[in-house]
Parts: sequence; C-alpha cells; structure tokens
Amino acid sequence: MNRAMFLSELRMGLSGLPQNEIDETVTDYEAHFSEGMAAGRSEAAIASALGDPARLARELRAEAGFKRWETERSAGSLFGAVIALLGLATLDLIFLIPFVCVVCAILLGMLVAAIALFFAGGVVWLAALFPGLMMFGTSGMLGSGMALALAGFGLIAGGVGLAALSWLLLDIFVRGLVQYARLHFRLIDSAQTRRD
Amino acid sequence: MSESLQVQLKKGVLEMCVLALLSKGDNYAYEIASQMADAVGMGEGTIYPLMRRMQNDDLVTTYLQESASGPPRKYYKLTKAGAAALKAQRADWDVFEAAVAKILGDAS
Repeated sequence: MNRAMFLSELRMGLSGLPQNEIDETVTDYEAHFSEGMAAGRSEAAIASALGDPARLARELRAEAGFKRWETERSAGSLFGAVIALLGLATLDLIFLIPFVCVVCAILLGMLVAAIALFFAGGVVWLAALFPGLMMFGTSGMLGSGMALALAGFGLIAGGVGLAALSWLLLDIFVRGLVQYARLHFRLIDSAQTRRD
Repeated sequence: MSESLQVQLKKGVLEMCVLALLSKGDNYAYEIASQMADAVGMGEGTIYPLMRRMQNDDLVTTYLQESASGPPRKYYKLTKAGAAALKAQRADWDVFEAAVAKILGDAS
C-alpha cells in the first residue's frame, strides 16, 4: 500500500464526519508520510507501520461519536455514539451485549413508567378541575378537589423525577461504556498489525 | 511474555508514556510515534487517535511551528491538567510496579 492508497482509504472510512475534522485528520497522516519519507523510509514501510487505515478510521469515528455525546446530550448524539461503539465491534464489546440489553430494558421500563405517571397525574388533575368528567365514584371517595389537584401534581412530579433519574442513569451508563471501549480498542490495532 | 498480557499492559501505560514524553518538552506526532514505536512497539498509526482523545480531554494543546524542512509542524504541549494527570498516573504506576516487583521477588 502506498501513500495515496492509504490516504484515500482513510478518507473513505471517515466519511460522515464533519469535513473540517476529516481534513484535519488526513493532514495529520499526510504530515506523517512526509516526515517518514524525509527520514528515508519508503511509502510502503510507513503505511505498514501505521496499520490498517480502515481500522484507524473506525477508531477516530468512535472517538468523534463519544465526544459529541459528552458535549451535547441528544437523541441524535446518543445514536451516533451507539453506532460508533457497534462500528468497533471488537470481541470485548460483543461480550457486553447481553448486559447492555438488560440495562436498556430497565431504562426503557423506567421511562415508560415515568410517562405513565405523568399522564395519570394529568388525568387526576382534569378530574379535580372538572368534577363532571369523573366516570366513577364521587369526589367524596377520593377527597376534595384540592386533594385531587395535589395528588395529580404529585403524580406529575413523580413522573418528571423518574424521567430525570432515567436520563441520569443513561448518561452514567453510556459514559461507562465509552470508558470501557476506549480501554479496549486503543491498541488492538497495533497488536493485530504486528501479528502478521 | 504472552501477547495478550503485553497488549493489556501497553494499553494501560500508553497515555502515561505520551504524557511523560511531552513533560520533557513539546513534540510533534511523528517524533512521539517513532519514540513510542521503538520503546514499546505500538503501531505508529495508533498515536493519532490517542493524541486526538488527549486533546479532547484537554490534556494537551497544539500549536504550529515552522520546520527547517517542509511545511510547519503541529506541536503538542502538555496542559496543566495533563501535568496533573501524569503525576496521578505515575503515582498509581509506582504503587502497582512496587507491588508486582515484591510478589515476583518473593516467588523467585
């Protein structure tokens, strides 16, 4: 593999990232080739010491995905971080999949419960504001309108609290995964290059 | 030394080694990569994802400096946080190394 092939494979592997990030990264590797050739090494020798460009691109993309999650918490960046993790797809991460599924199921359950609480609170509020809407029982059964309004408020607050808690846990969980992934992907590349 | 043990060990100390190199003076990636490749046998390409991450974590900053040969070089410089990280990792490493040396010494 020569310089041009290495750089074009790297560029291809990085596609999807912001253009300035791609350019910056490719410039880094271009400089590496220039330095190496100035030191009297051949293009092929430099490329083989660098390792597989597709693999390097995956690591760099993963790093970019993690960084986005750390600076901007959104559904989009979460999706990006998960895709980046999957892109690494090392054996170490595959072992984690059952654990990840369980945690995701728990978080999803918490989120559904939070939404249900929120709506239940809303219904109780409506019942307090418009006693005529009540399909069953009387206000005597559930207490006065004031008590109902308070109960509704409590349910809504509970729902919001639970949603916030699941968001917090999700954040801790993704950070943990990112830490784990970093520890595992960093040198796998060099180890494999050296084995051949 | 078995290969997997080597890989695990290197993973743990790679960042610390780069921090230590930079604590001796600012440097550019090619030079860092070749020193690390000679010393611990890491793939040279691995240095760039690592430098990027360390930059994201504010352990290093970069600046451009003219070089005698060719275009300006991107130099990496240790930040305050980077120096603190090196100190902390070094302390951990010393404790770990002493513990392993003691056990190995007892066994021989």
